Amino acid sequence: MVDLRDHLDRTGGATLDQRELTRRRFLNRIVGGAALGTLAGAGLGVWGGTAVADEDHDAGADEMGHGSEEGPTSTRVRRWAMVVDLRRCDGCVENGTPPQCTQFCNWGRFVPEGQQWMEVVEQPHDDPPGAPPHTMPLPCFQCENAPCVNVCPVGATFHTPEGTVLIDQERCIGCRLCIAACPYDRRFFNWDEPVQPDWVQDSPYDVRTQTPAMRGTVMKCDFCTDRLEAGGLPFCANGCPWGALYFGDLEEDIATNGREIVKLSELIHEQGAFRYKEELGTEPRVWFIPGSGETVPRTHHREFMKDRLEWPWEEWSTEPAGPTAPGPAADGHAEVGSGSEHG
Amino acid sequence: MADRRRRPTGRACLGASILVTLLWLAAPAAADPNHGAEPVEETPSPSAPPSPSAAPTREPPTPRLELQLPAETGLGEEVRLEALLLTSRGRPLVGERITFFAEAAWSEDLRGEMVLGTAFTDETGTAVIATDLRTSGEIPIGARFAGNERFTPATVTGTIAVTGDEQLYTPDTPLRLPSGAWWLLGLVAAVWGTYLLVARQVLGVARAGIPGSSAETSAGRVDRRRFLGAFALPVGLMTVVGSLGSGLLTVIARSPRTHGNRDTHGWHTGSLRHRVTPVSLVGTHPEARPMPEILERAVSFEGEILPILMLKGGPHSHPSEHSPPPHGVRLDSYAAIMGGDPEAHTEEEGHTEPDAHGESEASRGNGGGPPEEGAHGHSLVVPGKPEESMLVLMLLSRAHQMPPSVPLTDEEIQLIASWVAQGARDN
Repeated sequence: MVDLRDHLDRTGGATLDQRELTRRRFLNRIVGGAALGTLAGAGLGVWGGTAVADEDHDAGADEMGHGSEEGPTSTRVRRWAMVVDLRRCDGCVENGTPPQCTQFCNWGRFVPEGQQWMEVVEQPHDDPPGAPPHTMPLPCFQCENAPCVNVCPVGATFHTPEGTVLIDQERCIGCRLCIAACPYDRRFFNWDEPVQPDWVQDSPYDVRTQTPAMRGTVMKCDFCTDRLEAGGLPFCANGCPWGALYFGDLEEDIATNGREIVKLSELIHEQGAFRYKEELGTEPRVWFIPGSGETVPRTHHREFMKDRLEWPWEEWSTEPAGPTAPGPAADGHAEVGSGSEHG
Repeated sequence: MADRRRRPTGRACLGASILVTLLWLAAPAAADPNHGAEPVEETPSPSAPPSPSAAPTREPPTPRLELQLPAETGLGEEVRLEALLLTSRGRPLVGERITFFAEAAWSEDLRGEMVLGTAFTDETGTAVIATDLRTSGEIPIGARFAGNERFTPATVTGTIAVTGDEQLYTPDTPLRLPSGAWWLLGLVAAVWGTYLLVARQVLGVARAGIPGSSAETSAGRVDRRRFLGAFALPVGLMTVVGSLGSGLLTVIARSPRTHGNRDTHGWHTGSLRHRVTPVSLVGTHPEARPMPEILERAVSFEGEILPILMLKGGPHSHPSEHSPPPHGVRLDSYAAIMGGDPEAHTEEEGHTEPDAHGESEASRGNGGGPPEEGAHGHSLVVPGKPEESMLVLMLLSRAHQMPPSVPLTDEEIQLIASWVAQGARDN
């Protein structure tokens, strides 16, 4: 016969001992769970948000009637695209200037020195002998299946609903995986503190204009979406003297170079436009109409002046005000490739 | 006598045969609509030499151009546009080029005709194209005959009511999954859940090896320092795994078409702070900030306006040798701003060279960007009227914002507008 007291003592003692262990375990689990939950929540918060435009920009949007009060009258969203008519591109050789698409882009976006978000490359050839070189403007191709977006480990580079690929420099960790992934070499890294006018560096960050630039982050052509959505055109199209750069909307099937309005699909199909490295499956949003500047009257036979591109931010910041500023002239230009550049 | 009677009969037979021959020759010509389209009665044949006695400039006739459109169509649906080109007498004009166009707008200041397609008239004088209209509303449609040496140009217009508001262009992606991104979401969740389980097992192993964690050892003998050392590492591992896994899942679920997640447009845009650009907004909404209130006090050009322009005028205030100021507009002196700087005009001319189409930027108006200030015939500054001064309008504009990317502050814009309103004096 089992002694009830002994039994109660044994079971009671065991129960008491288990209860102590359980409480300890319980406390440990509480502490661990709280830590886990905190960090997981931090992950959700940090990763879950998308690119954030600054408050001033949103306020400005409301002023324009783009805010939520008035509301859009259509639920359809623009799908930005670009067509480069190579028949009209001579690299600005005829005008005797550096490529104005690049120069206007530099000016308009305060592109850090050495970077060319819109870069005009040339290919000399001898067919026929003495012929001017082929020139080809290369913006970011805003790929629909963008390798840069797919490899970004922190989601700092992303697609907008309109199809452009933007970079949130405040989230970018500078790993440069996107630079390695981009098959078009259209991304640039700020190795040093980027030089920009002081008032630009002091402005609030805007993910769409990528201002101000930040050290240790990646930058690239952004299609000037802030201007496109307001009905304007990107700076490169504004600067092109021959109207070679068309920007358009695949949704409404419309495009313009600022001088004429065309049906985008007609322009692409009628002129036999192609997409660069299309076989990679990146689905770029930029088409090229084959050509080599043959519609540009070539009478001056000047040199390709890409090396005269300017990033005159320091001159603009430091030059004193005066009614007869002479301008930095030829020696004011910076060499291509210096400072921050391709990763 | 017989001979006399025969002779007229012979002549009649000869005349009749000639007439028959002519009729026989003319028969296929009459059957040929091309030939029938010749406006013989209306204008001399182009191949005939001009008669010196004829009127020197006789206006060619205007053909009848009729446009046959459906009253309405759906957004993005194929629509058939027909144009009928006839002479004034109703005969078809064959083989003539007809251009179909629609009125389109890119923005408030950039509107025009958008060519939808071209076609040649058939034997009935009909030209047909099949196209689609991707803008909702009453769309003005037109057809144009450019004219030739026999007929003057003709244009006819009509409208089609286009209804619908569905998104037409959806990016195609090779990463499209059968059920959207949920498969990918589940896969990643399974992988990271496994990681988390492994991390939990590591925690268990570490705890089992800690002296004092067994039931036989009392709580007081636990080496807390070793316990925390062994406890912190696995828990840290678990938290890292949990953070990365949950973050990655969130990215896949919420990011706009990141990692192949492209079918959640309506879902994620609600949380996006990046403003989307609906089709209806561009070209229909005001693009400018409101005109600031004009200051009562006198504003100094030298002391207040010029420093702003020199600091933030960019290439307009710091022209260089190889990159002239955009569109010839200089802001580095009072004379240049008011249009009295000859150097500015020289550079302006450099930007009005004929382009590939033989037209200049000045003749094209907008020229692709800003309403191009003084370089395109607009007054950069109209003293006393800031609302008509391109300098002020460019500062207020959103589409053509100057300075670019980073606008002037409200106070700076107010200063410049006030200076213009006060007469734009060189004070």
